[in-house]
Amino acid sequence: MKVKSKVNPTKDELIELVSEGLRNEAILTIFALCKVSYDGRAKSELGPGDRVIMIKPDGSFLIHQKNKREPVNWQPPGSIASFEVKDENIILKSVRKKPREILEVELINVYLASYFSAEDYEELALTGSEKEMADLIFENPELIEEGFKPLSKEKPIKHGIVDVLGKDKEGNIVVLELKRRRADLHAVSQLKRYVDALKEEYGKVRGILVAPSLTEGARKLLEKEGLEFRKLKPPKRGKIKRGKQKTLDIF
Amino acid sequence: MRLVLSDAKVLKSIVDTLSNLIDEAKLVVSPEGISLRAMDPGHVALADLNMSKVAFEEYHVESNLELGIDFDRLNTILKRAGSSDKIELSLSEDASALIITIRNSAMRRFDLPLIDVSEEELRIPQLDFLAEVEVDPKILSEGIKDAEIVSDHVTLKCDSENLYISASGDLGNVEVKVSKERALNFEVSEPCKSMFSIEYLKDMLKAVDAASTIRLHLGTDIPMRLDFLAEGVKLDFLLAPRIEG
Repeated sequence: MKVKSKVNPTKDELIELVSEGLRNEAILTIFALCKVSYDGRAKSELGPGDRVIMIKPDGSFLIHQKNKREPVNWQPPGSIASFEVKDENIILKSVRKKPREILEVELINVYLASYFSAEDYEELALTGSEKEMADLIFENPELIEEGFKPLSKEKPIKHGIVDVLGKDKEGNIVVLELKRRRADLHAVSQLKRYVDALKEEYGKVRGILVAPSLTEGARKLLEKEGLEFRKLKPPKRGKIKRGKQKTLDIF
Repeated sequence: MRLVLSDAKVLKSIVDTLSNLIDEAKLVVSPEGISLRAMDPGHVALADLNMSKVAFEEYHVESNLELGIDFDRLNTILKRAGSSDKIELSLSEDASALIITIRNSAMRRFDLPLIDVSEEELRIPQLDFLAEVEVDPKILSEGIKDAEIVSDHVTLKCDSENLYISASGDLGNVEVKVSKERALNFEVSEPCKSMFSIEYLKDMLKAVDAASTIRLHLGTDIPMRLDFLAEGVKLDFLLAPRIEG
C-alpha cells in the first residue's frame, strides 16, 4: 500500500502496521507518548512525553519533540531498525554497530501510526559514481552480458530518464537502471516504470538493475516483475590510492 | 590525593590530544604515577599514557584510585589555564569530583564530576615493527601538515637511508625526506611502508608541545606506534593503517 495509517491503534494493529511498513521499505511516522533511552558513547534517558518518531527505509531514525528544528535524538542512515514487544508496550529500536549505539523508544501510548511508501524519481542527472558506472559500461559492455550494445546515456522518456539504453545480442531493447549503492524497492519500481513505458513502443523490453547489491525486498520484486540484476560496483576514483581504513582489532 | 604540576603546558597538550580521540576514559592514579589506556570509538587509535610522579612538582597519593573522566570537559577546563600556570589536582571530599585548581594571579577552582566509564577489554596488538626512528617532533608534524595540503592520507616509508612522508592528490604530490643523519635514532631492519589517515595523525601530533622527542615505529601495512617522550611522561599511540584493495 502507498500509505496506511491508524489513529489510536491497538497493540496488534500497531505491530501489523510497523511490520508492514518496515517490510515495504516505507517511511514510518508515529505520534506517541514515549520514553527514550540511548546507550552509546554516553548514556541518556528522556522521560515520558509526546513525540513524533520517524524511521526511514535507509535506517535513519529521528525523534522530534514539539519544539526546535533538530531531533532530540537520532540515528544516521545505515542503522538497523526493529521492534520488540515488552509486557504491554512496543519498543522501537535502532542499532548502530560502529560506534556501538542503541536507541530505544518505548511507546507508552500511540496516537497515530502511519507508513508512507515514498518514491522519489527526482534524480534526473546521473550523479558522481553513477555517471562513472555508465562510462565503465560503455567501455566494457560485456560487464552487463556478452553481446550487449549500449546505445545512449541519460535518455529522456515519458516518465523520467533512462540511465543507459541499449540492445542485447538478439536485438531486444534493454533498459539499465544504475545505482551506486545497495538498490531497494524504489529502484525496482523505477526500472519497471521505464520498461513499461518503452514496451508500448518497442514490444519486448528487458530491464536490468545494475548495482553493487540488492535489498531482500528488491530481489523479490525484481523476480516477480520479470526484471534482472547485474552486480556492478562503482569504479574507484582515478589514480588516487585511498585505501580502506582498518581497525586495530584485526591485528 | 594531591598532584601539583609546576606548569600546565604538558598536561594541556596531552589532554587536548586525548580529547580528540576519546570522549571518556578511566584515569588510574597510583602512588607511582598516573596512567590511562583508551581507544577511540572506531577502534582505529589507541592511547597509552604514563606520567610518573617525577613529572610532578608535588605528588601525594595514598592508595590506588580509578577516576572516570569526561575528557571533553577536562579539556574545556584546562584550556582556561595558561601554559605557565600552576595546576593542582585533588579529589572532592566525597570523591565524586576531580578538583582542578589553576593558580596564576588568582586561585581558580573547577570541579569536574567523575563519571562511570564502562569497562572495555582493550586488546593491544602484538606488532613486529621493521623500523624505529626517533626525530624532533616538529619534523613529523610539519611533514604531515605538508602532506595535508594535497590529501587526507599519507604514506610513511622507511629505507636504510631515509624516512619518507608522502602524499598525492588532485592538486599534486608532496614528499618529505628525512635522512638518517637528521634523526636522533634510526634503526631499519627492512624497508617498509604503510598508509595512514591524516585526520588521526594530526590529532595525535597535538601532543607535540608536550614532547621533547618522538619515536616512530613502522612496518608494512600494520599499525604504527608513535611514542611521545618528555620528562617523566610517556604517551604512546597506536594507529591502524589504511590498506588498499
